Amino acid sequence: MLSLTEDTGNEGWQTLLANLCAKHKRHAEVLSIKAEERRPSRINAAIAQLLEQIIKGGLGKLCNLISRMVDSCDILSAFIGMLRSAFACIRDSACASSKLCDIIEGFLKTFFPVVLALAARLLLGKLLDRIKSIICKVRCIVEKIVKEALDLVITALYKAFGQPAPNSAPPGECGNSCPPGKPCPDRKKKPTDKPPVKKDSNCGARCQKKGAPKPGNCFAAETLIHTLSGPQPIQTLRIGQRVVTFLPHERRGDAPVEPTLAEWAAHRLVTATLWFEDGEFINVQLLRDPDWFRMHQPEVDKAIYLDLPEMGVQGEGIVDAIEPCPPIESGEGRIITAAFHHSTGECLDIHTTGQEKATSTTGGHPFWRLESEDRNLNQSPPYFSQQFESNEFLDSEGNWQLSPEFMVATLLETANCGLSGQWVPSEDLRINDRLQTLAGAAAILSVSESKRIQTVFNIEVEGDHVYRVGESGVLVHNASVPGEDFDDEYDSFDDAIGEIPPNFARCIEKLRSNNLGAIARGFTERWIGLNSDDEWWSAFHNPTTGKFAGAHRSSRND
Amino acid sequence: MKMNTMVIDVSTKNDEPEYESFGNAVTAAASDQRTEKAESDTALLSGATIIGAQMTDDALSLELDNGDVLRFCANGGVVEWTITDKGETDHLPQSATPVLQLSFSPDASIHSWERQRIVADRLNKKVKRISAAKAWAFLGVEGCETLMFMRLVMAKEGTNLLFYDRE
Repeated sequence: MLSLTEDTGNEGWQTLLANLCAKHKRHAEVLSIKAEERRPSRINAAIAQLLEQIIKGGLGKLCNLISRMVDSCDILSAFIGMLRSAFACIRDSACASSKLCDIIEGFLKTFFPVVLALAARLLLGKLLDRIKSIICKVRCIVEKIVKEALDLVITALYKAFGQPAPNSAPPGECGNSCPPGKPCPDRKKKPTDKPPVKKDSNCGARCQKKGAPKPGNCFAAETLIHTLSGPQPIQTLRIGQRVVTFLPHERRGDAPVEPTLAEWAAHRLVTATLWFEDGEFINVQLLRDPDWFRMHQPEVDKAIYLDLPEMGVQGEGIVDAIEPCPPIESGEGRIITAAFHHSTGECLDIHTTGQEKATSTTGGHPFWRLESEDRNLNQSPPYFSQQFESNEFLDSEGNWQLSPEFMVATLLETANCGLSGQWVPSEDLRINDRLQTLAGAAAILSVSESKRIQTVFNIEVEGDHVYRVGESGVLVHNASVPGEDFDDEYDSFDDAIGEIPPNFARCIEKLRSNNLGAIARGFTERWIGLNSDDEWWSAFHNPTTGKFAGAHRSSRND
Repeated sequence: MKMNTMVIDVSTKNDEPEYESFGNAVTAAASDQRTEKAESDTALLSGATIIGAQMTDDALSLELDNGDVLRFCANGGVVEWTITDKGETDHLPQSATPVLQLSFSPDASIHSWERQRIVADRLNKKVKRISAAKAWAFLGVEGCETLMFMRLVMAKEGTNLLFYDRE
């Protein structure tokens, strides 16, 4: 074996390294041969082949490294040669100092550039990383400052023109804007990635002001919904699927006419997510017709304003996707046209006869409660007897807003249930109240007092706006028909109303007319207004001619 | 009483005046005497329970538990209502009017009009409000949608049909 001494010459070093390299190469060949010999089966053969490649590859790399080291031996040899000269010089007392200086100078001349280059690279590398980091931070700060400045300018411009700024929600308010200095949630993040977070008791979509939508009417995950192929967990339903709505004897009047397949084909599916500053979100899927798309002009990755207060969906979201109409299931039942996924909701459990599991629902979801003679209606008010405060119709900025309670109340009228009973919010249901199931009436055994926080879902059902939940198929309303607003046809409420009578406030809602006689005359809409004396008025509207007729005193909840 | 299940051609008439704006329509109605009458009659009947009904083609009579009879009828193009004392007579007989199939001109779209069911849904429920437009009338009943009354004309007979359905 070769050993390193002061007498070892350059050739010796090269020989040593070359031998080492050759030895490893031989070792690789031996291992390769051994691997060749171990082939008892096809599997072992494959393993052996793999092993061979690994060994060869690994040792090959090692050998290459050694080769590079050998190539560097020239420099090393020169260094050792100079060391030898230095040793000889030190032993030789007669050695002149100038000779030592020559040696040192030679040493520095040979190695200093290399050492300097290495040191420079090491230091510069760290320095460049640091500079890169600083530039990145500066860029982030500048971007943030510019964005905030632009937001302020835009807001100021909108205010100057008397309009609410559509894309800016100040910190602490709802919307997709995030407070300065706090990281925004990843808007591309899928809803399932986000664990539910506990929220305030009175806040459906967090930080909503008075007059803002209440929590959406939803059911907890795993709640069974009756489809044509049987009960299915609500979170697994898809747009275009059919669900069971009214049984024939439960329906009042004719079933609403469903769009044709050609009309469905013209629909498109838009998916959007509303993010809130605390990380809560609402994921929305809407199957909508071309008119809706013309009106809302949704674009992927762009903002869209969704106004579905009765679903707890009101505010600006980001469009995640726009897709063609999904397959429309054929058969009985009605089509699911929208799906809503709230990251959290407060649920109460309703136990009824005829099913083992409780139905977990948010407090506002409308259930059809059958009439019962021995029940005191006043203790458990239906939607239609709820009282609405007039200031609920104006938001804090003085903009006219629809009361979600009023909307739900009027929307419930559209469900043509022929059974004797009323739509009642789940939180107003009481023990012994009777609900309608697919098998008939079922009595409520208990309603939990405490509400649990969990992920909740809802669907919108075309035409009937009802569906069946739980094992027994309890009849519930989807409460998700968006009320049309005046922006469809008019620039402002004042334009819509025209000359406002003395002491008359504003129009509140535009509903579909149900009266065949009025419809035959073209009065397909019914407008409801509230004056300053808290008197309600209603009139029919012909959208084709723009004319109004049949104005009359009305009640709040008619 | 007409016992008819065949399709009846009907037409609407321009009985109700039209206005350019919601505000104008409301202003006109607010100053109308029919509105005042409706308000005073509402005060009179509000809370009374409908306990019986009689239907004919041109009228609907509702028997109330306070002893009054509220009768809607088509008088020309205007739907009018009267409140009379039932007196000592027996309850109004239940009408057995079948479902009518109405064909509305000009598009001849056919609709099923279940007037018997419409009235039956309101039996044993309390009157909330009577209200009126220039020619049309409205009846609010607790727990039900407001009923709207208007005059239709049966094309073949040329006679009036008192049509009522939810708003």
